[in-house]
Amino acid sequence: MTSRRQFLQKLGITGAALPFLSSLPSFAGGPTAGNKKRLIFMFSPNGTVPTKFWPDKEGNLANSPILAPLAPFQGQTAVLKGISNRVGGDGDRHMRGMSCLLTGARLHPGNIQGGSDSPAGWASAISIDQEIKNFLQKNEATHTRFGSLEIGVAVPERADPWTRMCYAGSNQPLAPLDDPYQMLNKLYGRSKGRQTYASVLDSLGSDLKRVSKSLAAEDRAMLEQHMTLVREMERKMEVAAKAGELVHPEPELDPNIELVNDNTPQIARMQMDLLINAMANDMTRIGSLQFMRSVGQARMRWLDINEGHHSLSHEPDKNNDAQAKLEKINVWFAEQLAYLAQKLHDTPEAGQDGNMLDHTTIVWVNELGKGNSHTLDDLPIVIVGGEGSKNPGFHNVGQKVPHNRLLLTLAQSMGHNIETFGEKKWCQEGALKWS
Amino acid sequence: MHHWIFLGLLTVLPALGNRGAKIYTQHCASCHGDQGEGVADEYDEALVGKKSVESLAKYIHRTMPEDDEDAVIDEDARLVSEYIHSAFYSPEAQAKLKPVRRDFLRRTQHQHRRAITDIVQSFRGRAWMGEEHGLRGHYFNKEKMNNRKKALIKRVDPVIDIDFRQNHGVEGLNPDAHSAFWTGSILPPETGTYGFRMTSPNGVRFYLNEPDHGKSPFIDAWVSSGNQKRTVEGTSFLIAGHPVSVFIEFVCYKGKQSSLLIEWKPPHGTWETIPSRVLHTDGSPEAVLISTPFPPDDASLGYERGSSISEAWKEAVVNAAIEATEIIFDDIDELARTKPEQSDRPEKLKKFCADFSYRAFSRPLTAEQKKTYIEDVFAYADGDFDTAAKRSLMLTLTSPYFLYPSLNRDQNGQPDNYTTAAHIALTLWDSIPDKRLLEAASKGELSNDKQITDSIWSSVADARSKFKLKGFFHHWLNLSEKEDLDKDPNLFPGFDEHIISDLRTSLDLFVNDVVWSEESDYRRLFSEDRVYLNRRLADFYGAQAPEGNEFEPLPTPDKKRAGIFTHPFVLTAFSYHKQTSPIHRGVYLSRNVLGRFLKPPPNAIEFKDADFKPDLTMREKVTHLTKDENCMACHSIINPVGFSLENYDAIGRFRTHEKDKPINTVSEYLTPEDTTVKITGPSDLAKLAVESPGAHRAFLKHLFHHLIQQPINAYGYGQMDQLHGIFTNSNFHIRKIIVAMVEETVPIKE
Repeated sequence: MTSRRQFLQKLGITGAALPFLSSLPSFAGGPTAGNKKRLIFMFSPNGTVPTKFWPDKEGNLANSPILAPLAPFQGQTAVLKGISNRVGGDGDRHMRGMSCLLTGARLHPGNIQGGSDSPAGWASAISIDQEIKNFLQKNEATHTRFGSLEIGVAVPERADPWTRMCYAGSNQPLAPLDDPYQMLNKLYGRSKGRQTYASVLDSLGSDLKRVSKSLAAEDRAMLEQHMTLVREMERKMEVAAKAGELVHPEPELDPNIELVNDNTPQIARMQMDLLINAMANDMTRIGSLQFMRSVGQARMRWLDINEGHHSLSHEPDKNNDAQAKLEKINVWFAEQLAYLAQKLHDTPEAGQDGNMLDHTTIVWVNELGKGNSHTLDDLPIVIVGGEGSKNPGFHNVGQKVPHNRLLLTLAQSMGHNIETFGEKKWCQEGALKWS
Repeated sequence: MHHWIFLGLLTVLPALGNRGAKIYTQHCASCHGDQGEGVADEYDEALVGKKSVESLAKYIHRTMPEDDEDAVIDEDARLVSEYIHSAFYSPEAQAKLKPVRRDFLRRTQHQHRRAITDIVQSFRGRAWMGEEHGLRGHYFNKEKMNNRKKALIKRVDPVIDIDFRQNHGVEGLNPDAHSAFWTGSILPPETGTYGFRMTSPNGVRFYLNEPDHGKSPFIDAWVSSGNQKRTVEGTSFLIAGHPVSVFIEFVCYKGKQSSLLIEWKPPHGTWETIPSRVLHTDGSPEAVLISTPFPPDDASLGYERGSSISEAWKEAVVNAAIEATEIIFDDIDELARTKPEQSDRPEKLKKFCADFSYRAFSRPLTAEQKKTYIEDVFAYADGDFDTAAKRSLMLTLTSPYFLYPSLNRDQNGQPDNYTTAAHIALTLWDSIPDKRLLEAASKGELSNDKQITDSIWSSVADARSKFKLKGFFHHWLNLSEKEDLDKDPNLFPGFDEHIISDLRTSLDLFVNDVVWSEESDYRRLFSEDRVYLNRRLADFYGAQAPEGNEFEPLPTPDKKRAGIFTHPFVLTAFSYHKQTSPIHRGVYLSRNVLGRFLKPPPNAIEFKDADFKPDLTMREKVTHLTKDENCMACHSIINPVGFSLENYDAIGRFRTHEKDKPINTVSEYLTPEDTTVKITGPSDLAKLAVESPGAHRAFLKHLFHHLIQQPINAYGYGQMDQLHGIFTNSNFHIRKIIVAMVEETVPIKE
């Protein structure tokens, strides 16, 4: 009786899985000198529960029911109150909340009709993540293989202004990739499939040998050539397995997670792991992580919530049950942010002091301030790591401060010294500062 | 063995053989070699050709031996000719001298791709495309953008080119708010990359090959921009004859403009409204289409075959297996008829993999194969049955039993019923046997001649045969190599890529019509005086226009067409950029269609138009260029054929004058029997193609190679004679000869 271990060896794989990364080092750039900076936007939809979100004056995160999961990062977290999305124009507030969030510019007139207001189309301008990406890609020192990664978690298969926040330009929405397996393929090519294939090479070799023996000498030449190629492939894979490992090896994904609503927590983990892995290997410095979509109806049964998120967000303040569920939902999002921050914190920065979180600014955004009022004021903005460490704590930055100014701040923090972004009239007071 | 037969034949005519052979040894062998193989520094070309004994005798009498022309004359010349002809000169003698082996082949890239598609399809069922062309349209009025709609009408739209502000024909349509969707399939006429584009100021989603349209659309333009018309494109790799489903969704909400145009750009074609002839209202299940690029297959013998192995090929095989496995795993539960949490899911996966190997290998797995491909892989799954299934599928798709169809034999290496089923599927469809063939094989119903013949006839009726046959005509007519048909725009204004694309379609429709008509008569390929024309072609060539938007067979203004000889696409393909090329037309038609044997030119002479006086006609130039005796050995065949078509210019238009001189199409043509006949125009060429056994044989040879992918002589020296007999006795019925070819080559008959 062959043991499993022996069988795997017979199949040509050892231990866990054989990293078949024949040309992997070229996928990533080596660690570059200088002060590496990264930026991640994390989006969650449908507004927050303000009374459970905003921290006390001392900014004690542990005392905010929703932000409590971020308490370990108290010293690296800034919470900003008073920021508004003041871009007007066509489209309902969910649409404008979403598609103007990172663009700071109006939507085109179009054919998509929301629950109120006039119909609209796509955003009319580039989003800040893409603007910064283009800036970084121009410079050899900051150029990376992808420039930016747009990652989704449970984003429904539809394209409209409620589902897109990143834009390469006017009328050019970028679809977030919400399938971790496709994301893995994008980052590491077919290596996963090849890994699986590696394990059958030995069987294939024996079969070719067997077949070849049964053939007339004249016909055997082709099979023998085929056999040689298969043997070479096996040999190359062994060599590749020994050499050329990445600074941060390709993450192992559970291969059997179905892309369905109920698996969202696992999918979220996989996507975050992939994003961090890509950043650790310097494949990108800009990332966006979009949970669901504006007006998203995720049913978070893993939190024992059976109603759709958007419907819940419409419930009045006095519906205690609904508010409690919304709080739970937003706590879950905060936990995702905490996971992301923790993982970055636990990963040392290659070639530099500190850890990855020190060099990464994560900005948690939402398209609305509050679901049942559809307000675009007091957007719940949380900044963790990077820029968040400079002046951590709770900051009331004013009344209806246009969010374009925050976008300017983020651009400038990445070394891109622009003075306006999106609609100019909202940039008059320049980049937003808090202290 | 074969040598012995050769000696045996000689003993029948000892005197003749002896005398002729003696003369040969004495006067010829020093320059031509003992077996006519040639002698270096003397005459190094082999004495091989298609001249008749009489013709050889005449030539020897006149010119041989070179240093003493009178040494072998008259009766001696005849005797030595007879000897040469039967010993090594004639193709028959060559076939006996060098028996041809059947090549051991792997699947070509086309066969490989199609096989994978068909294996997966066999788990879903094949779509059947009916006669109704177009897409089924459903129209609605909208009260709100996202819900509540009022159904108006359902109808079949031949093409999607609709302006909802004009003659849309939908009664009661609310001009400001309406929606529609269309369903059906596209049946791709060629394998390759297709472009698709939608032009509309409104919201449109195009789902291709996504029957449940649940995933992301192939082209998404749901969000409009200021009600401005814009065009959105996408590309997709499709397989000839394999239908893919189409679902198009359209919405106009508060739009001032409302219209939709759906176009495509097929391989070799140009952007055009997707024609109704490729649209069907029937639906089709999702197809697994492998887009992994493969290295091109060997075509050095004039037909594609999988005769070589390379690193690039091996990589393509591995990548295609991985790609297929990935696509299969998107729908693994549907294909394996199970559900994610079902307790017997591992068993179902295992069964799926076993079925998959059975269909890929086109025969039941041996105990050993079952162990390697299924049992071992699943025995050590360690709870991860998905990965086990992936391994099994990848192993199957890179297995020699899948890659090399010749391995389809029973335990003792003998062909059986399954071998026959696989042979029929490969030769007629370039694919794997379908359910019907496999069932027949499993019941032993492919055992006798009648069963085999019946089975071949039903397989010919499958749509895939149509596309294989279409490939044959492209190969026979050398069209696959003719990519650049551009002509001088000053001389041929209006002859653009659209016309070229239409001409290609016109020829395809013509040969398709001939082959699949009741008579399926080879002779009609040369006698048809009508040409398939759409409006654009009719306008351009000055013919009567068809009534509808599609192609129809119509008379041309000159009324002097003779099938493929005068099809404007063929005439254009074998012409220069600015003028006709009687040499190209002559060489191609002599070789491929009339079956003449032409040696490569002894010295390559380039046709340089600038070397000639400008007032000379093309015929005068060619006559001058080839007047040398060395040239005329072949050009006495080539030129008359080319000259007879001089009434058709470089784009196949009829003309009576060139440079104000009347065109002379008359010349003397040297037949294979060395007689001369007068050729005056295409109808005489047609007569030759219809009457000459050489022409029939050329057609049969090309057809055989395309279907069987083996040299015809590998099936015995008499094979061609036998097929030729069947062909002439069946009134040159193309489908009957196809059935005969497949039947004659069934391995069990060896």
